[in-house]
Amino acid sequence: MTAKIARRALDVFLICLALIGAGYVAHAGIAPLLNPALATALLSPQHRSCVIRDDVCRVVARLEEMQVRAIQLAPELTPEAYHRIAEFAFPIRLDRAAPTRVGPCNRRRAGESIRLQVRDSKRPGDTNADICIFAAP
Amino acid sequence: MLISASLLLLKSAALAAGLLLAGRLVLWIVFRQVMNAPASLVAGALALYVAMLATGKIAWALVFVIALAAVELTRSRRIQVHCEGVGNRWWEWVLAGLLLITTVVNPFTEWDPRSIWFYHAKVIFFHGFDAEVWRYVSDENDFSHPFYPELVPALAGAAAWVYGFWNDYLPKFGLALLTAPAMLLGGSLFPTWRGRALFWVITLLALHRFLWNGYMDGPLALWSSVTILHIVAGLIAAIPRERAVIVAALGLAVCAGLKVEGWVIDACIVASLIAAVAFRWDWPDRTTWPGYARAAIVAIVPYAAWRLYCNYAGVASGWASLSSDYISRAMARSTELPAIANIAREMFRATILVSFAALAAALVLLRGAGRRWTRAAAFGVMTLAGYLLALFFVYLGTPIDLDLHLRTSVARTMLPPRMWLLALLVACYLIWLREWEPNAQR
Repeated sequence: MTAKIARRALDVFLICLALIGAGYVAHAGIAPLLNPALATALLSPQHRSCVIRDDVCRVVARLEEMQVRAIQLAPELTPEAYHRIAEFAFPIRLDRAAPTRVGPCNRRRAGESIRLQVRDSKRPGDTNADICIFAAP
Repeated sequence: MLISASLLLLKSAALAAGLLLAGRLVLWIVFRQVMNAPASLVAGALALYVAMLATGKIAWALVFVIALAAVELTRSRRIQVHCEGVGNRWWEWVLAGLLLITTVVNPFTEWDPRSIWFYHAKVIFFHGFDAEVWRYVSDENDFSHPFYPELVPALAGAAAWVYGFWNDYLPKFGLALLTAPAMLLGGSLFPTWRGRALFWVITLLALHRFLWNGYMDGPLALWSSVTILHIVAGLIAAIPRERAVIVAALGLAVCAGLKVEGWVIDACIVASLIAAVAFRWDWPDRTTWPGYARAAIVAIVPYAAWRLYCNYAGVASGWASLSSDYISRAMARSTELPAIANIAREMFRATILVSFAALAAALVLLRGAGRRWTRAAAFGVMTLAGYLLALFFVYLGTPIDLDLHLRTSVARTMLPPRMWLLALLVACYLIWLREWEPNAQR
């Protein structure tokens, strides 16, 4: 009798856990569906939505506008900014000899013009960290 | 917008159906068995991956898959050996559907999914496995570890290619093509709702968002658990041997295709299985050996194809190679007590230790459950111990700062052993309930 009650209790506990698990998956799936912008993001190419750092999205959008095929990416950028620009901009390639350069704004070289300057969204108080697109003369 | 959505749904269904049919044919050719839909789908996904590596182009690989699917559709069904087992319940299909939706509507935003897995998928979407482009990735983007296995990136890239564009959501359909079938395969091991519900519960509790956030640790933990559970069920003869062998072969192939750790897990599983069988000197009948040889081919080919491709394209093997530096670092640290204590503290947190204690107690309670169960339990425990030792060694020889490495990765790298512990506890519970009777084949 006791074993039967224990088994029933374990079953009830299991059903509760299963409902919690199902609820967790359902919540993770349904919550994004309530966002009205999701449909557009889901059904359009990458550049129509921005799920990562806003500064990186703006840099890459400008690079696409400029129709560059390759960029120099300054290693002085934070690792996150470097990674995000490299992957988000692909198929724009990284090339150490490219005339267009992306790096911190305070690392401008002689003769370079600034095509875009955006505030580093992870370090808003540090203007030395602002990200710029430089074009060679 | 409605038309676009319908078209995308149609393309997703066509891709899944094509992989399923191609996979059925592949399994029939290799094993002379007809498997259920989840196993066939995964076999089709592996066939697509190998075809992409062999041809370098998504288009040619998809033509190959479509050709296989067409042959399967026209093949005679008069002589077929079914090895499907009991199917899945309706609520499992609902949960698998929910998992698929959750995977696709949550974009990949975290570090590794963006810098590694879905970056590689994007490269594949644009250029397939073009050797020149992968050399570029290897030379200029080594932060993305281009030598990592590319099963999910290949599926995600192929899915995006079928849709016709790349974004941060839809390619994750490629990930769902591997996780949803694993859940269904794991659930179908158990005869009653209890085992199935327990499997879903432990997976959701242990892996939660790692099932869909784009990190490979969750799928790796899931697939390795499904493989271990099938081997345990096969060893106690709770399911037909053929079914256990086929799903285990697919599981081993998927594990090695997901992450570098996958082949370490595969090595632990295979070595433990051989040890568990050899210990009792109870080798399988010689007539079954060709089946094991075919399973070995299925398990090895996808990983071997990727390694051959890396050599061909000149993709450097990075830290995945076991260098003398690595070993000497590990040897040097092996005498540093604070480093050892640090690794042990991070790897074996309270919940893991509680699970270990519960497993030990369960194994003591079930010590009289029969010789087959003893062998199966020994296999599970040896796999667990082998992988934990390997992981300990990886941290011991890490080339980066030990604290940083532990802090940023141990929660993920411990997912597989955490899942195996829970999976073995589920097996113990079902043996105790007599729902998993040794020799009660289904």
